[in-house]
Amino acid sequence: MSGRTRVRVYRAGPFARAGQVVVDVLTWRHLVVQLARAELRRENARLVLGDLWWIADPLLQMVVYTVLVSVVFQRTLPDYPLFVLSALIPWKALATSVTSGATAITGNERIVRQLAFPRSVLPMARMGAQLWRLAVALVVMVALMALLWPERISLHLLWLPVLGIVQFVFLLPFVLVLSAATVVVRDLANLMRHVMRLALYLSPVLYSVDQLVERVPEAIGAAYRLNPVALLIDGYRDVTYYATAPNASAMLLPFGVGLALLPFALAWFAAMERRFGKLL
Amino acid sequence: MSADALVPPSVDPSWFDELRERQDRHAAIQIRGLGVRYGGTSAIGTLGALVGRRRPTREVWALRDIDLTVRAGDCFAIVGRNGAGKSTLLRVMGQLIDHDTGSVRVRGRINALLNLGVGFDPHLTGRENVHLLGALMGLRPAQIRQRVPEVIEFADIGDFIDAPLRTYSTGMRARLGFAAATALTEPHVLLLDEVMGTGDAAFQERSHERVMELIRGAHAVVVASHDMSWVSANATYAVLLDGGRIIAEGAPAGVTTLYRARSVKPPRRYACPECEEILPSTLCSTCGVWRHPRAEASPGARDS
Repeated sequence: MSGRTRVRVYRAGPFARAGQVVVDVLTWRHLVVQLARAELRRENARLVLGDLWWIADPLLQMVVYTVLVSVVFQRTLPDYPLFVLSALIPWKALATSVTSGATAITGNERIVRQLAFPRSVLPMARMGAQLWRLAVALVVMVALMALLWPERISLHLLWLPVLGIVQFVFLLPFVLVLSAATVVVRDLANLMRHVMRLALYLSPVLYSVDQLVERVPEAIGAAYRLNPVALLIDGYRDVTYYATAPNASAMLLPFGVGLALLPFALAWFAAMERRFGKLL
Repeated sequence: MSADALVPPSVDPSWFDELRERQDRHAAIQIRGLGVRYGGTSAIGTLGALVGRRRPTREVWALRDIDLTVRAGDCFAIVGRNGAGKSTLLRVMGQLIDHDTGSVRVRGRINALLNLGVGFDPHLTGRENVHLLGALMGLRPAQIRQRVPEVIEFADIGDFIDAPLRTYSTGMRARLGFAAATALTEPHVLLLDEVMGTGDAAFQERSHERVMELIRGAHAVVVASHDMSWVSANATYAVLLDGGRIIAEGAPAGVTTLYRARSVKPPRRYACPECEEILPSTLCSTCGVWRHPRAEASPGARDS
């Protein structure tokens, strides 16, 4: 026999329904993979370079920002391209997860209206696709380091997959909530593009945390050091540019924040999921 | 002869009630007091109306007080005019939209064939699309791989299966959509919006045959249809919806007759300008006067 019936939890409180979402994603994991693959295929399907864009994208961005900062602003750090690239790659994965995750449900309106699969697989698939792109880009970055900056390669690079997982867990609740909220207020998808653009300049991508903290009042600096995004980005930079172990807080705080918010995000998603059919 | 006389003396008549109750308990779909509401006021809606261009929506009940039971073996037909709530009812059964009042219970795997070719992505190849649709319908990869040859054969698109969907002709796309949707599903309860056929004459015949096969294979079928001759020939039970309520139910022959009778427009009637008599034609039979073609219709002249 074919197919799967949804295991349903009846008369459940909000957190049992949150559990339902987890069960859904696990039972339908194959669909998550299929959707993520379709997502990746679709993106580059008609381009000449095709999947090479996964590599070309971060490299070109690095060139742009290196020119911008070292020529226009006349500020140079040693090996500035790597300094930017090591933060830009995770940042791009983070920002794209948020902006594309926001439209995960509304962008798939047609299938949501016609087929009764659990909706949580859609944001999961978008995030999965970004995680894959992040992995490819990080491999490219390591290869580039071996070519251009071999002295910065160390065993600490093995922290990269861990940081990727921390980033995924940190983003998960935000993307879940955002994808469901966008169904009600579609303007959020537009808004998020600008929010992420602003967040790029507020995050330590083009500069280091220390550079910023020197210039702002002490209270703001202290708050900035607790910003999970800043910590995460700094973690990536530690293991590549500085070739040291990442700060424990760089991983524990974002991971803890993500894990603590997750049950609430899942409960909200489960409550909203029932209304998608009518709202779309 | 009364019903009691049919019951052998050894059988307690309440046995029938129990049987009925048990049938209901094991019904494929049981719906009680169902209501589905669209629109209405919400915090977001009010905010949108205040700051933006979004209009507050009026509350509309698409379905109201629906009670029905679809038992195993039923071919359950839903008939009614456009906008009567047929599709909404199918969507509620298929768990695509949530209801506001009452209860809906569905037993077994339910699958809705509402719109063929759904989930098809123009940039992916036919094969990738079939895999994606299979996964969306809850099949495991091995099951999908096993059915792909069947889909290709039925859709009759040959090597195009590995070409991107955007290179397909409209007919090929429709055939693939139909083949995939029908081959990848094996529901206990099948929901159909119209018993459809698609494509050219030859394919239409084959696809109709395929749908009938699916209908025969399912434990229970719910069809929303405008095809009254199909309904009276194939359905085992029918409900007539109007304005979101069930206004008649029972044997398909009777329900379809009622539906047909209700959809007949009353004949136009005209008032004679001389004697004010209401007549079915513009020529008055008593005074022999033609009503002027552009004459104002007199009040009450048209029976609607």
